[in-house]
Amino acid sequence: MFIRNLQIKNGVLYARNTFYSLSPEIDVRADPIFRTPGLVSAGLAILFGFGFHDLLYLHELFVIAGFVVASIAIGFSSARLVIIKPSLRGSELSVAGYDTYPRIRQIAAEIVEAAQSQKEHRS
Amino acid sequence: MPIDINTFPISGRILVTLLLWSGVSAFALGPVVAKREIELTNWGEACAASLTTQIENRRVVKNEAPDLGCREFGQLMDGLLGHGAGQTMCSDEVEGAINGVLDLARKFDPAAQTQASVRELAQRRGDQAAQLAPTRCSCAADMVTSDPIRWGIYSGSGRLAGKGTDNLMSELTRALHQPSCALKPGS
Repeated sequence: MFIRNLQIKNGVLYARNTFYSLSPEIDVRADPIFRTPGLVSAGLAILFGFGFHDLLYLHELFVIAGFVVASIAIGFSSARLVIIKPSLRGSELSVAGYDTYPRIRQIAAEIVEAAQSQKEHRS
Repeated sequence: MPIDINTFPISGRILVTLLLWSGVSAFALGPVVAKREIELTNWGEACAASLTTQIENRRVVKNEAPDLGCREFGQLMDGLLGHGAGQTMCSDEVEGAINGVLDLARKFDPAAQTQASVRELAQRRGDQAAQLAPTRCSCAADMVTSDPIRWGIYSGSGRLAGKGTDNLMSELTRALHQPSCALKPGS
């Protein structure tokens, strides 16, 4: 699920099929889950390209190069947004979604801001 | 006992990536690599040429009885009656007549007729087999490339692991003589 569908309204985070109450103690984390698979995929593709360069056409080598660049780019620029509630012994409540780092940073800031305003509202 | 992915020596993400790569290697990259490795050995042309030569050799062996004409008959007579007898017999005027008689005799000779029809059949079969040689060769190539594990390991590791092209020619030759390829219709 992409977090583009997320909305924060009145201290509640609405996802496509679920919603979270943004209590003050809620915490968010960006988990770079695609980084290692991206690097591994890129490495394997490079291995294949070098190993079989004599059997491959030039356009196929370009496709492999494109795959390598895309794997690394996606691996380093995308992540998973994880919502954590420390009051529940640090257990992860759920995964909010997957997106690019800038978008995750933005939504994380919005969540923290909403959680803070909840805290201020309570006090 | 349930499998706990966290106890694996490598992370689940890497494991999933490697599984995906294995699948792609076995079913997409492997067949392409196998096909091109076989093309690199020039199997198609070498196999078709070899099969055609085999068929030609078989034809020569089967056509052991040569047609008897005036000159051959004259040579036979030379051997029997002494030098010159056959030569004079096959002078220009007589040669046509003797050939005609021999043709007539051949026409009514059941053994010659059988030989001719056998020769014709062998010729037809040989032609058919020669036409089907490329089909048989590609059948053998398909048989060798149809092993997803072998070619998957070879392509997925970038030639670093797996059997790959080891004994490729002998395996192709073996596959060529397997019943599924050797008994192609008409061969």
